Formats: sequence, structure tokens, C-alpha cells
Amino acid sequence: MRGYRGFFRELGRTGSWRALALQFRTGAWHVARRLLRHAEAADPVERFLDQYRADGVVAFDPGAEALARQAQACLVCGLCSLECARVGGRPPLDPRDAVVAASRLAVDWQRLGLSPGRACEGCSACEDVCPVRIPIAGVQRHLATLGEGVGTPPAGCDAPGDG
Amino acid sequence: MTVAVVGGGLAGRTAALDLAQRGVAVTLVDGGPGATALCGGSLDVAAASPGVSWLPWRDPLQGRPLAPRERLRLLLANAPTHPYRVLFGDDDVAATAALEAGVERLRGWLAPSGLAVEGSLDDARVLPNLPGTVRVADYALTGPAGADVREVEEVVWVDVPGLEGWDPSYAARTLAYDLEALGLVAPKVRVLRGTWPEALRGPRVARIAPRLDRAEQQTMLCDALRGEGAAGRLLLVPPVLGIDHVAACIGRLEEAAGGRVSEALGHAPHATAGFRLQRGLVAACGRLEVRRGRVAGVREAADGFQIRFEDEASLACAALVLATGRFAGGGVSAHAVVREPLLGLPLHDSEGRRVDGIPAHRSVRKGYANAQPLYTAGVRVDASMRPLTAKGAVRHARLFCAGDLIGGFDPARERTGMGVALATALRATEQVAALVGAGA
Repeated sequence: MRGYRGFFRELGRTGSWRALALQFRTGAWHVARRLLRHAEAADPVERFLDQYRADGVVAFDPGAEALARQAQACLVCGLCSLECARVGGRPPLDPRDAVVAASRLAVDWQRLGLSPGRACEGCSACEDVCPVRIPIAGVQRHLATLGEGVGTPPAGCDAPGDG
Repeated sequence: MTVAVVGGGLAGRTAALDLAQRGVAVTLVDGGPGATALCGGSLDVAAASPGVSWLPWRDPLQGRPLAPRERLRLLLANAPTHPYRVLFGDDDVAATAALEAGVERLRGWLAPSGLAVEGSLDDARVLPNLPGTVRVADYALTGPAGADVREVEEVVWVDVPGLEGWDPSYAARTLAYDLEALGLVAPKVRVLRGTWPEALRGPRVARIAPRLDRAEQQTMLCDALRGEGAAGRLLLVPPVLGIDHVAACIGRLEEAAGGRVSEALGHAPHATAGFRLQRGLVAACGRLEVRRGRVAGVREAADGFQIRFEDEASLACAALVLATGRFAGGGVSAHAVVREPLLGLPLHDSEGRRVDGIPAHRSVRKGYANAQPLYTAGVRVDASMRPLTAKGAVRHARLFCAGDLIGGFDPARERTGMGVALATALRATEQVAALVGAGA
């Protein structure tokens, strides 16, 4: 009722039924619009993404976000790369690069061409030498799932690993 | 009941190995390597670091370079909060003897892995870094140890084409400039291009170094550098000369080149030497009881401790040696607030202020070049390496600390990290052995 106080005051001041009709029309239109919007609604996140997907915005799942937070502890010490090369691993993406990439939260991997599309062997040797205990094998697996269906990285991107 | 040592770096492994040699039942809790594995190849006990540390590199009156033992004396006289001071008072003879004994022990542990700790407290080395800056190093590991640029007339950087973020001509210029700034007779510096084999190229040190463990790849490099050496000439290579067989690799290269060949000091993410050191220490601990995993919490009792791991397992121990390191190792956490995560021990910086329980950014001083007291934050200990409470009492009679977890010094700036790790670990084990009784 509070919101209509102005309306009644206006009616009392002007005594005009025309003012009343105008107010009613505006109010009814407002209510109808709200109802209509609810009908079209779906998930607001989905609506947002529909709007901005073309600009490279993607949704990230909570698992990936947790992984990204763990990856942000990276000291970039490079011990994982050394251990990986020592045990003869041939990952599509160097473990250090993978962790640094995964520490960026909402990046469209496919557009950056970072997604390898296949995981490393998953021997976890790199995890044993990591001073901050980042689940590097999990990061590699995650990046691989993101890259499924993606071909070779576009020209100009670093070649994944160097063999 | 066993004695638990928490920490997989130099201090923790020194403590565990020494306790085992004393006949004490010990369990090493290895939560991964800390700052030990990030070392570039120099192992310092009181090294000068011109422009970074206040410890002088030369005698201000006579102008001659100071020996490490002389700098140690200066450090003991001028750094009241340094762990050396807690250990040795101002007795520099005792300090020197203890550090030399510690290094001797380390040599014994690393020898089976083919790693040598070269140097002595009588003369420091001047070793070049990968970017070309020089470091004054007390001790150095096999690999970069032979790169003392004071003894040569010509330094030749061997170009490794394609190595990311490294430019040999830049390194050569920097080296010449830095040596001049140190007041040394600068040798001629040049770059050797076009010899590095195609098959040994790569964007990362990490991808090249393991290949040079293999004999056929070493032969390839030997052929490439054949005859390039000469008397008074030093061939300087990035830290890529193998992981497990670095001594053999350098030996073969020197024979083929006919002159001195050495690695430059690395730095993270090119800390090959630190990686080798860590591997050597892990190998030395091969016979010990090692429990891998991170500690979630520690419960104190009158006669010992109950360690709870992140995987819900637990371990009871009669005494506990904490060698969890500082910010890199996780012994001091700076997430949200600065704290010691296992027992909530009080942390003090070198200026005596208590820093635990407050956000790290509040303790940071403005200015890039300023010393940051936060980096000196750590646990305060008594002469037996037992941590103290905020009021200065002993926290627990069976709790000991070693390594960078002990505060009052800045390991990165003061270049005393290795000496502190060895000396504090050996003091702590001495006390533990006396407490639980050898053979217990």
C-alpha cells in the first residue's frame, strides 16, 4: 500500500479519474512485464552466457575452480618439469605450463589453444616433488577434458611440450 | 616410541639422518621439498651478497676479499637475533667448527649420489649466475662449483639456442659489468655460438638436463665442444649437464674440450643443482623410515606428540623435530594471517615484533629495496632449539625446531640458510638423543 500512497495523494489533489487510469495502466503493464520475464527466464547464468559467449566468456565448474585455487599456490619453481623430464614423461603440456595455465580462473582454453586434448600418462611423479603439493596430474586431466574435440593449437601458440 | 622429524628439506633430512646414526628410532615425515630444492648450486653459511646482504665482501680497510670464517665472525658480532647467535653466542671458533663438521656430514651423505660439496671456510668462490650476475659462494655443489671466475683469463658462454628467457650475449655483458663492480680483474668474456648440437636443444633447462645423463648424448656434446677449451679459459654452460651423472658429464666434457667446463649457477625455475641436492638427500634417507604426506595437526601430551596426517592416519612420537621451513616449505603460512600452522607457535621478526595472527600485508614495508622484517619471521628458540612461547618459556620439553622455521634471519637475503639448517638440525638432534637416550 505504501507505494500507492503517492497515487492516492495525487488523486485527492487533482480529483482526476484520468490520472487514476494512467496510473493503473502503468502499474498493470509493469506487473505483466515482470510475469512475462519470469516465463522466459530459465537460468540467469545461462542467459548471461548466451549474451557473452561470443566474447569468450565461459562458465567454470566448482571442481575446476577448486583446482585453479590450488594451482594459484604455484611457486613456479620448475621442479615438476625437471622430474617429469627425468622420468621420461612426454606430456602434451609441460606440467609447469599446465599449472600456470590452470591458475587463471575463467579462461577460454579452446580459444587460447592451450588445451592439449589428451592427458599425460598420469604417473604423478611431478606431484611428489611439488613443494606446495599441487595435484598436477589432476590439473593435466582437467585440461585434457577441456580440450576434447579440439585439434592442434592455432599457429602462434607455443608448441605443447617439446618432446 | 619413535622420534618424528617433520620436514623433507635439508634441515629435516639432516636431523633424521643424524638421529638414525645416533641409534635413535626416527620417522621422517616428508611433505615434499622446501627451499632446499630451489637452491641454485651455492651452499652458503655466511656468504656476502653485494647489494643485497649487509655482510661485506671485502675488508673495508685492506680491500682484500674476506674469507667466510671472517664474515661469520662479523655476523656473530652484528646480528643479535640470528640463530647462529643463539647457537654459539659470540664464539666464532665454536661456530666455525660446528659448521665445518656439519658440511663434512653432508659430504658423507651426498657422496654415494656422486655429488660433492666443494669449498671451505677459508676462501669463498665467485660464481656466475645464469643471467650473468655473480654470487659470492662459500660452498658449491658439483656442477657450478668449478666456475670460479677469479681464476681464469677468459670466460666463454656456450650458447644453447632456443633456451627460453636466456640470452648469452646479455649474460656476457652482465658478467663483465658485475665483475668490474666487485673490483675484480675481469676476464675476457665472449659467447661461443653455433656449436650446441641440434638434438640437445629445447626451450627449458628441465627438458635438456635429463638427456645429458645418457652417454650417447654426452658424446654428442663432447664432439661439439672438442678442442674449444684452453689453459686459463672457462667454458660456461647453463645448468643442463645431467641430473644423476653430472660429475661424469663434466669430466667427459673437460677431457674432450681440453680445458675447464662448468655450469653456471641456476635459479628457480632452472634450479637443476637444487634438484640434484634434493635427490641426493632423498637417496641418503633411503634406509630410514619415511612417511610421505602432509601433517594436518599435532596434539601435545606430556610424554610426546600425536601427529595427525591429512589422510586421517596418525603417528605417536616421543619427541618431535619441526623442520617445516618458512614460506616456501609451508612452516610459516601467510594465507589470511601469518601463522605457524601445526602448533600455532608464536612468530617474531628480527626486530622483535610478534607477527603471527596479523595479515601479512600489514607487516610489509614500502619500497622495493627495503629489507622486509616479515621475511625474518619465525619461531624463537632456546640454545637447545626448543621453541619458546610468547613469554619466553620453553613450549614443550620434547619439541625441537631446525632450519628456516627458526626466525630472526632472512634466508634469501642473508645467505646463511644452509649453515643454519645444518647447525640447528645437528644441535636439535644432540638434544633429542640426550632426551630419549640413544638406542631407545
